[in-house]
Amino acid sequence: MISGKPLLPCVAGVLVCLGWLAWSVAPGASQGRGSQISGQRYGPTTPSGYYVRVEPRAVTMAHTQRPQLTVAVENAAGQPVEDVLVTFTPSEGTFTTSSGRTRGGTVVGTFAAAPGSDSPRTAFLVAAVEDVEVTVFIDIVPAVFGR
Amino acid sequence: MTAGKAYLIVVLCLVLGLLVSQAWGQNLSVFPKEEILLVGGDFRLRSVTSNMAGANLLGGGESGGFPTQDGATKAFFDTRLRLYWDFRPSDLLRVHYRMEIGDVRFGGGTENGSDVTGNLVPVIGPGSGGGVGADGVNVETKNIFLEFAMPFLQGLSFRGGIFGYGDRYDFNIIADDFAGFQLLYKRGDVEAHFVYLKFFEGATRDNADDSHWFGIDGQLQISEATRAAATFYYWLDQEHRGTLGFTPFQYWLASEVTSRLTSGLGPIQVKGYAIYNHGEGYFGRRQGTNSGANVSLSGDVSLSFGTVGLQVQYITGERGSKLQLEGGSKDTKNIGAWLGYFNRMYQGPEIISLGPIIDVGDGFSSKWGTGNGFYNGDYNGRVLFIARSAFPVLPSVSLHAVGAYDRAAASNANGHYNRGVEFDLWAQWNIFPKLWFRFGGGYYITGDWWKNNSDASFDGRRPGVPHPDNIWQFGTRLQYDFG
Repeated sequence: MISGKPLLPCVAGVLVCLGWLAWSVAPGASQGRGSQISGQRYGPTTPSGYYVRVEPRAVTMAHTQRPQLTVAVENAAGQPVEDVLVTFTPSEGTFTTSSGRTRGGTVVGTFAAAPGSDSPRTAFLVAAVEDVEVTVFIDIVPAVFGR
Repeated sequence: MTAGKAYLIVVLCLVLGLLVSQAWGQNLSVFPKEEILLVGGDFRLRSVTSNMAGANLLGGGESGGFPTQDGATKAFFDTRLRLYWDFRPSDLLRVHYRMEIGDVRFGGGTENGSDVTGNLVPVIGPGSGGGVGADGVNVETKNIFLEFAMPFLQGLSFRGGIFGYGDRYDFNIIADDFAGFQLLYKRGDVEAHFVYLKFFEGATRDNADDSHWFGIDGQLQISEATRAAATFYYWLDQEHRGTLGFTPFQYWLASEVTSRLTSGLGPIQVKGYAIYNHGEGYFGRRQGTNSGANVSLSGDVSLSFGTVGLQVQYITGERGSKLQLEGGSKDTKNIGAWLGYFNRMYQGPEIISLGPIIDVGDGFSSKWGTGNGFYNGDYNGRVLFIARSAFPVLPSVSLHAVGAYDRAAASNANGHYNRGVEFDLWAQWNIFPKLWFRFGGGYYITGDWWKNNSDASFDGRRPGVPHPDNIWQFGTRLQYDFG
């Protein structure tokens, strides 16, 4: 038998380990079900009172890559809203979508940087739903540099 | 609680962790996309004509130029091919390989066994590839790394191998290819990473160090149109431990805010950052400590006819010369200079920084620190004002004009501050969607700072020239990006 005092760090470590497992299994298990848009939601919009989420909120890319962005529109209860117009304004290049209106509560599009420019810079894309505008900053870096 | 029970709990937890990990891994849909292999890269052909003198091959090569008196004109072509293969068996895993052939230079004064940046290449063979027969063209490995999503925590991934890494502060602190690993986290409004880099060991290259680099970086989207970021880098320079009797170190603490503002003219992208640097025994060259700051603020407004931007940057400096600060009367003193490892800046003037016309080549930038390149103003620091603009004149052609005023933050040994003024003009023609041609030039009117300044010499220690030339440079760049 040994006293319990020296074991306190060990027990704490075990608890942390268990907590880590309990906390991390849930998101891990959900990974196979497709991504859910997380992060802050913005709104409500006027006049309809929608809320807007955008993912990803941080993009770092080489100028030849084509990152995909998703805009989700939901009501105050968090339920997806159909057939809402979403407009996109890139500071450079193009942003193409299959539909400008939400399907299943989302609009998915692809950003392409301006052709022929590999100079590092920060571009932005503005996604607007009614009067709410969400800006996504896009760090365009030389192909070999990542963060 | 007995020790035996505690150990049993620990073992059970580990077993549980392994089982959950295995179960998680077995349920991944790895196999359906196993055949996917992405290929891409770029090919470029450049020409450079300039009267700039090249700096010390041991310290910066052609990447760290400076004005000299009655300097000869040099002209050369070079070419480079970069290819990458990205093997992606699933969305959660990739293996990346990137290779490079070049830069192979035709003409000019390339030293045997060195590439265009002046770095020694010990296995290049008898030629550089530019001679008749093109013998000696070598294939270099740029990047090889493995990246995969970590189990349990969504958004967390691991990257390890040789990869490119650059800071978010205009590459002022660090940017190059390194061996190391990263833990990256990206979810929701947060993006963060930890990075460990192990610099080249051995003495084959004089300008690389046996040292460790640690970094942690994170950014948070704090509102609809604003993001904030913070970074901490720590560099433990073991290479010079024996030289100085202690282990030199440097650290950088930095923050950045980027925001999109609205105005009557159009949207304005504002970016500001501040970096504090402190360390001791910089590159083994000094005994003393250094503390400094690097602050930048820029704004670019999108107008109906183009983009116009302004940037001002202040880098603290120490009065005096390299001779005084390294081994001289100020060697052991605490100096107020901001020091970086890379000292480059994109999006700036062509000659002062790493300009967009020819990318790497001639210029004041240097990736090997102060004393060999003048982007950060050497020990004297810098005050830099930049005005830049871009105008699309045709659907496939744009014109770009840049002006800059360049001044030391602290005077040199002669009491001079004024470095000079630069003007750039260049055009880009998008021939095909991924094939483009860029051409133009820069002209730098040298100020008094360069006169009789030993810092502005081949190795930063020889006597400076009394009447340094104004510097000019003309470049062309034809590039095809694919993949």
